[in-house]
Amino acid sequence: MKLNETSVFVFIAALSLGLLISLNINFNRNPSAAVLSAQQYRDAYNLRQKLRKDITNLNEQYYNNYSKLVKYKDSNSSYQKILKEISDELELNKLILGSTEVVGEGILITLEDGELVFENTIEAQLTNWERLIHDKDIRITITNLRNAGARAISINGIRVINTSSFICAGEFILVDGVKHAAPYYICAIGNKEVLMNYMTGSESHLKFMEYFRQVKVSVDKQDNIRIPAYIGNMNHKHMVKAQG
Amino acid sequence: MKKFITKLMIMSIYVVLGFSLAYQFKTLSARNTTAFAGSRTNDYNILNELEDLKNEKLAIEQRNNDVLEQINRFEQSAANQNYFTEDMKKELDDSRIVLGMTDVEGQGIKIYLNIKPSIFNTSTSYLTDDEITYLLNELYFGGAEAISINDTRITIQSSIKMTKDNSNLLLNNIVIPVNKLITIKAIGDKDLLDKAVNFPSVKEYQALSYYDIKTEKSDLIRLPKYINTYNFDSIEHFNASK
Repeated sequence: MKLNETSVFVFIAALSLGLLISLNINFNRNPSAAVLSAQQYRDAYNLRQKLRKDITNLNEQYYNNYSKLVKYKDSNSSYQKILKEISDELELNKLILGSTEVVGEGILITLEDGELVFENTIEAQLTNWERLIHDKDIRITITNLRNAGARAISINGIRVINTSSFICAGEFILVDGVKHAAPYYICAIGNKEVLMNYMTGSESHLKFMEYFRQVKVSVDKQDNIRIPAYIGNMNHKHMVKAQG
Repeated sequence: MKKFITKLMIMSIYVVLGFSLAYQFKTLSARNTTAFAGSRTNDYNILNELEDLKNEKLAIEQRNNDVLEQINRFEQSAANQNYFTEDMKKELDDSRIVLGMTDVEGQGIKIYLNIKPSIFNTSTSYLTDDEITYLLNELYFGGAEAISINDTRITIQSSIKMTKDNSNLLLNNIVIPVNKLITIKAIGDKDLLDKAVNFPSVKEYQALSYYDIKTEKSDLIRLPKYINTYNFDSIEHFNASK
């Protein structure tokens, strides 16, 4: 048998090609059709978690709605009973909506600018910048209070609602367009122990402000905090209930 | 001539071999072997489960909508009896809209946040809850009436924080990956909202500068309802007589 260089190369190439083809061909069309990359698997895993949570929440909503419907369908149900149901739900909604004055246990946070340095140097300007309270500090504090489960919040006696905004305006902070200056008194109603632990944890933003920026921070638990109703306009011009 | 045909055949074999090698290499690269990849059976199971969960969610949503429709009919019939009840029903419907208890629609904007490709830039920084609440704050300042992130409604009891390992956003306890497209929808005056987001310094705030931020005005945006349950514990109406 005559062996030349070309034949050897062709033999190796054909063998490699055969191997690659056989490795990629899949006669079993069942499960192995779905092979996910690590990223796709992570996405699928996250989506599964989301769907499971959604279903749990929707089931809870369904249970509450169905209980209400059963009350309405009750053979003894009358106009008065339905009226009472409407009134009760409206009163509950007003509690968190901010359209009514509320009370409850919670915490009082006081934020005051730190001691300023009166020197005409860049370092002094930076130090002073750190020691002042900015709109970002207020925004983060409000977000953290909501994360901790606060049911109602106010800043300097003004109720914070879902659409409230906090914008810097020189030495003031605009809360829903109204000027406020330090010190800032932030009241929050909710479980006072949970709120206190969350807001004053070693890695909390308040601790960072206090220890690294020397802002004056105090947090006190209160048994009876009173938060007024929102006095601004809560009307919505552009948003309507979706049809269908 | 025979030699030429042989060379042509060898060449074509090498072309196919090269193609196969390249394909194999591409397939292996896509697997991303540095991280955990599920087994084929796991992949199949999770994809099947996703389909089941999607169907289950649709079914429960449908059941819920049917019940809400019936509730609404009872309430409407009571509301038709006199002006007092009619006003109360209107107020209740309004509170449900503002609190996010119903799907809502209206004019507004969509904001698309996508991490910029970092071929030559190794110092990419991903956004955190700080950048997200900053954007939401700007939108509320611009008059936003309702907002959702990746179709999760933001309400007064929404939690916005980072996951424990600080790698992703956790919104209403749902993981939002920060290295993927994030879509924020806001209802309000579309021109004002567009101005609020496209104000020069807004897009440069911290890690937002590493993202492509595109806005799209729309005459009709639909936001889904808040599907978590509101908590009313620890709070009650102020009663002056107490």
